[in-house]
Order: sequence, then C-alpha cells, then structure tokens
Amino acid sequence: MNTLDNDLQSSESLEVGRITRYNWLKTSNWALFLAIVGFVFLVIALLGLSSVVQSFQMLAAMSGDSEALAIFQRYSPYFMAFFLVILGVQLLVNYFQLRFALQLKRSVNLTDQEALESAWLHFRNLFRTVGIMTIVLISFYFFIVFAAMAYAMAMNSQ
Amino acid sequence: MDDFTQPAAENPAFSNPDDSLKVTPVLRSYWSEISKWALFFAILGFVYLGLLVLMMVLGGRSGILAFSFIVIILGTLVFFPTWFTFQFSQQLKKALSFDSNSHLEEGFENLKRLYLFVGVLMIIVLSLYLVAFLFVLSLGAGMR
Repeated sequence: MNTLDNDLQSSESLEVGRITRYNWLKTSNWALFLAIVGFVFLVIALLGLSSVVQSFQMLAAMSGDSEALAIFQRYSPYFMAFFLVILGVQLLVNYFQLRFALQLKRSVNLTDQEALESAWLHFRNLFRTVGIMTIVLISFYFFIVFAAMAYAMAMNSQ
Repeated sequence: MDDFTQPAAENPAFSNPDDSLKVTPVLRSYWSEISKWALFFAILGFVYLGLLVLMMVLGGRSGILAFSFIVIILGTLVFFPTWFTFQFSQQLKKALSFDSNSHLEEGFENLKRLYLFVGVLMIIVLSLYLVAFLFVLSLGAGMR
C-alpha cells in the first residue's frame, strides 16, 4: 500500500492511449444510461411513497379505530424519514453518475483535461458514497443481529 | 459530436497525440482511492457469493431443486460484476504501482465490461417490467 501511495508523487509516465479513450467513451455511454434510469426510478419511488402515505391516511379516516393503522400512523414519520434519507442518497449517487458520464464524454471528445479530472473526482465520490452507505448498512445488520441475540439471551435467563 | 460508428482507430476522438490527456498526480490520487473502494466492493461480492454457495449446498441437501436453481442464477449474476470490479481494482493498482500502461488499459477495459454487464442487465430487467405491465394491461382489458 505504501508503494502505491509513494507512486502518486512519481513521474507521469502513464499515458491515456487510444484504447483507454475508446473504453472511457463506451463507459460514459453506459454510465449516462444508468444515471437516467436511476433518476426515472427515483421519481417513481417518490410518487409511490407519497401515494402509499395518502392511501393509508384515507384508510385510517375510513376505518376508524384500527390498531394496525394506529401503529402505522404513530411510526409513519420515522418510515418517511428513513425512506427520504434512502432516496436522498440515491439522488446523490445518480448525480455523481451523471456528472461522471458527462464529464468523461466531454474529456474524450474535446480532449479536456479539466473535465477528465472532474469526471474521476465524481466517480471517486460515487464509490465513496456507495462504500460508506454499504458500511453503514452492514453495521446496521450487525446491530440488529446482536440486539436480537441479546434480547433472546435475556428472555432465556428469565 | 463524433461519429461513434467509426472504428476506434479511425475516430479522431481516440487519436490526438499532440494534445493528449495527461495522467496528473490528482488523477492518480483519485484512481488510487477508487481502486481501494473497488477492492472493498469486490471482497463484499465474493463474501456474498460464498454465502450463496453455502445456501445452495444446504438447499441441495434438503432436496429443493428450484431453490438451488435460483441460487445458481443469482450467483452467476453476482459473479461477473464482482469479477470485473476485482480486476478493475487490481489492474488499476498495478498500473499506478508500476507505471504500466498495459495494466491501465486492462483496468479500464474491465470497468467498461462492468458497465456493459450492468447496463445490459438493466435493459433486460426493464424489458421484463414492460412485458409484465403489458400482460397486466391485457388481463385488465380481457376482464371488461
């Protein structure tokens, strides 16, 4: 790992060849496609979330005293907040993907060095965001498992 | 806009030796971090694959063939992106460590393959959604 970090300071003998440029252009096309699909899914998810909340509110108004609906109403702000955070992260990921695609395409087509650095900055941000979210989710899974185990042990000891 | 239907060798976007793109220290630092994150994702993918193999073995023992079949399909879908991510990470790391252009090309070739795989998979999933949607619509029209 030290070798890699030291080499960041070394001479610039690496070159962006014709094959790499071709691969980047193809990559940017697919990244653009995935970013657009991601934004479409995001809009659908937002519409779905709002319609689910509306239909539950309507059901609550129609059914009167239902225990399940009362629980849902009590916890619905937390669910909403959780899903909004997820959608917010998704929006960020799609934004990085879109910027990566557009800047990489621009850098190859116009031989724009600034766009090239911006493209890889956004790709690094994309990986960083997804990586941090993955670590958070895995930690959350472990927390749930340990909490369940602790609960089960406490119940057994009683 | 360039004509992407031209072969790479004839396309002016891919051959501009005088005014070429440079691999600056800033780019190297981005690629270094990207290769580390890619390795992390690849390791997670391999762990997931290991769990899938375990599930398949347990499912096979209990005689649930359909379950094993689903796990094999899922495993295949997970294996390729994981492998491309791993290769991308390793080749990029080697390219930065040894200033090797062949490793750099191979690394970005694998990134392209990763995007190609995910993109084609996305098209297949979207097509399946469309077929399901049309099927439901036709069912609805048939019930009237």
